[in-house]
Amino acid sequence: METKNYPVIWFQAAGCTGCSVSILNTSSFKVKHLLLDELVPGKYLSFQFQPTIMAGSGEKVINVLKRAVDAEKEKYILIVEGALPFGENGTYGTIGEDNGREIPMVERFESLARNCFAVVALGDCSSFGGIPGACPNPTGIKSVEQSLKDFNIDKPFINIPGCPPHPDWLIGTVTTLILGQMPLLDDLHRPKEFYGGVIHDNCPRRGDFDAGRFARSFGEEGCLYLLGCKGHFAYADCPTRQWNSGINWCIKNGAPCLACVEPDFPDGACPFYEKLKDFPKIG
Amino acid sequence: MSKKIVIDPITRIEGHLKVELHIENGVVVDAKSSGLLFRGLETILKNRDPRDANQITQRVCGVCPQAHASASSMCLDDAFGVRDSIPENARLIRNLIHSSNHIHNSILHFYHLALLDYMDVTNVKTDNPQVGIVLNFLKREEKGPFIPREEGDFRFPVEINQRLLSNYLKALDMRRVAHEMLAVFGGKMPHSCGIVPGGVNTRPDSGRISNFLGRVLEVRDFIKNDYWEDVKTLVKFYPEYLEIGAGCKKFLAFGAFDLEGKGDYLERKRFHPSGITDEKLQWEPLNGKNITESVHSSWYEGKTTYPGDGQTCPKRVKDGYSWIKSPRYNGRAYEVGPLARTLIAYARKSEPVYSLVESRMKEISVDAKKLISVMGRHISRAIEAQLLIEETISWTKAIKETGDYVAAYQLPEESTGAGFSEAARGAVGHWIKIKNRKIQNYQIISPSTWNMSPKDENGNPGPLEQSLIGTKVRNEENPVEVLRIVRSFDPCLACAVHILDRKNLTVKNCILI
Repeated sequence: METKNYPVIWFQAAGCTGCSVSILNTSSFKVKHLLLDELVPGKYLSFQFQPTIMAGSGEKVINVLKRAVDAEKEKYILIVEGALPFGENGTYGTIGEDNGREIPMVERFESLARNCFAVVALGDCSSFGGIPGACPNPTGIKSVEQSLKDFNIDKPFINIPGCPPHPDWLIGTVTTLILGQMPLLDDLHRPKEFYGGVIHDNCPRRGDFDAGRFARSFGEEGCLYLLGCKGHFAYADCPTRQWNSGINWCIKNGAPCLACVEPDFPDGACPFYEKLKDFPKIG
Repeated sequence: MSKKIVIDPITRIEGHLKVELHIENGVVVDAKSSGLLFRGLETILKNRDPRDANQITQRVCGVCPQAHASASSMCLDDAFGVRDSIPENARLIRNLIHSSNHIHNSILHFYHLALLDYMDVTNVKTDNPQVGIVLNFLKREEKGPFIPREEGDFRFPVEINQRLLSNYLKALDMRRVAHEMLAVFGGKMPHSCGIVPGGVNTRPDSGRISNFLGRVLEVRDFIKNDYWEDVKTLVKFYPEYLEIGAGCKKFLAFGAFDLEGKGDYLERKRFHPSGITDEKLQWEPLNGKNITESVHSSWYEGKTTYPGDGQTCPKRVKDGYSWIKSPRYNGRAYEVGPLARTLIAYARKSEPVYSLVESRMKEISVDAKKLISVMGRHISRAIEAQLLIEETISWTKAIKETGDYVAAYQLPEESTGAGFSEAARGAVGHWIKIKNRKIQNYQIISPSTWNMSPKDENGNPGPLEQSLIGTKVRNEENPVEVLRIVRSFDPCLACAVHILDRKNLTVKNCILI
């Protein structure tokens, strides 16, 4: 069978590399298969640019970005990790130089996004602004969606939020894309397969909530609502998929949910350890 | 004639780093290290509930979030008046969460960040189950992310190269398992949720403890049988790197992994002790008041100050070349990180570090003073991983299934606090000022700020810059010597870059995030 190559340009902007580290924790597909082998029969991802693990440095790797834009138009998937800093003419974050001028990340993003096949905003920062976009947004952060709009770039894009996102959420989405389909998305452009259910509805402590049994200090049994849990408005499959090869997840560990997949993370969940004062009606 | 070389971006690090070199007759005569991303986390922390700092500061870095969770929780414990009341179980579990990340980091750094500078992915012949997947991969036209790369200095014969490559792949699993260890008590990783002010929010039972220990044994086997052997192999084939990249030859550590729960953080008994040392390997205690920060080469106005008192006024000044400030101790540049911790413990004759360093150096017939080098940093990380994986077993056995896990506190109206710990890359400190039960000011000095700092007003280059100056570069198109030196420091630039506060341009605390 002929194997088809899907080039990937993984662009890191104003982030913390947590998303890359999280994806490396994949156990449903082993990382070595993700990097070196077919993802599904007949198709493989080719990570042309991924700063955390790639071999080359400097001009050599900037040329990879330039070649993607010039010679691989409409072919590569652009994964964006980290938010886009527009403040001070983009000088809060630069990558590489051209004739002595440091090139702003947002400038690189524009040319990469304009020429890609599709954009995947990986993590809460690129999907919605995340931590660097939190009040008062000192560096003029915009999300991928907002940046595409401002640059007038019309490309399919998908948000894979989370701080960080679960590796399955990215790999599952990319697999769907290379099988030639667009995943079903919610109104925040998140794949419904992973973000379709509210954490509160699937929480093992839901019975405690319904019966009025609440933990009042850390380490106690019971619903974590009074300790600040924001699972009422967090849409993710953490309760069933769980984290790090299914070994644990936040609420199981005794920690309230921070709703790190939502557009208003972190501000909408702060203070993290205070109960919600208002919450949407639960049907 | 002087030639300028710019390497931007440096890959296989965390974050955005540029290195600019001036080379004369094939030797580096000047070097500038520049952090190129700025996010403004101190400004973002202002006016928030102090307890949120623990979670928000983890997002400083997705590779070492537990270092910030540890230092932040200690800082909050101090500010909330429970510094000396953290329950025993919580002290142990915090150590397990934090040390799992140090162990993860050693494996990640050696295999996935550093090794590609020495190991040739294309030098594979055998179609065995371990490396057969690579043979198939090499048939592809495009070989990203392994090509393009710097060429010209791969020395391992094919059998050894294949063994290293096979371990590179095995290490992808081992670091994932180390994160699973962390998640047993930390909930998830990256950005875990187990550590909170006052202690931990989780109650482990014997099921979770055995989950943890099973993984410890798997990782321990790899560290003892594969990782250490591979480091020895690297030293054998690249021995001149025991003479290259020494840097400032001054070392500093805040220490980490409390062995007791009372007393000043910089004075209490820790598995990695605090202190300072230099090439003479004499130990001295650390005095936090001798730390200052210069903005001479950073994109801020102002003058050299003690971290708590500084002014921060952002400005792209003519002589500035980085978003990173220049922390100095007694006015001199100090290196932090695994080499610093190892030498400080060795100088203090602190066990079990001292004995393991002695025996490992004897094994490779190298004097302990040669650790002050590129290879020394790799050796130190491997020694640390060996020590920590054993210690996790003792800490786990000491957990009692009954007892408290978190100390009660009242959120104070007004307070100050400071917390000191170690990221895998080195000393990390957090400082807080609370007013009206909110964060008035929050400050972090992280390890890569020390290591990647630019020149101060006395013209002292930072540790990385010093380690590059004097290096012979054989091929300017493929400056492998420079890249090997840079990567030996395990740079983490998301941590290093300074925060600016634009709102109040008068007296402001310096923040380094």
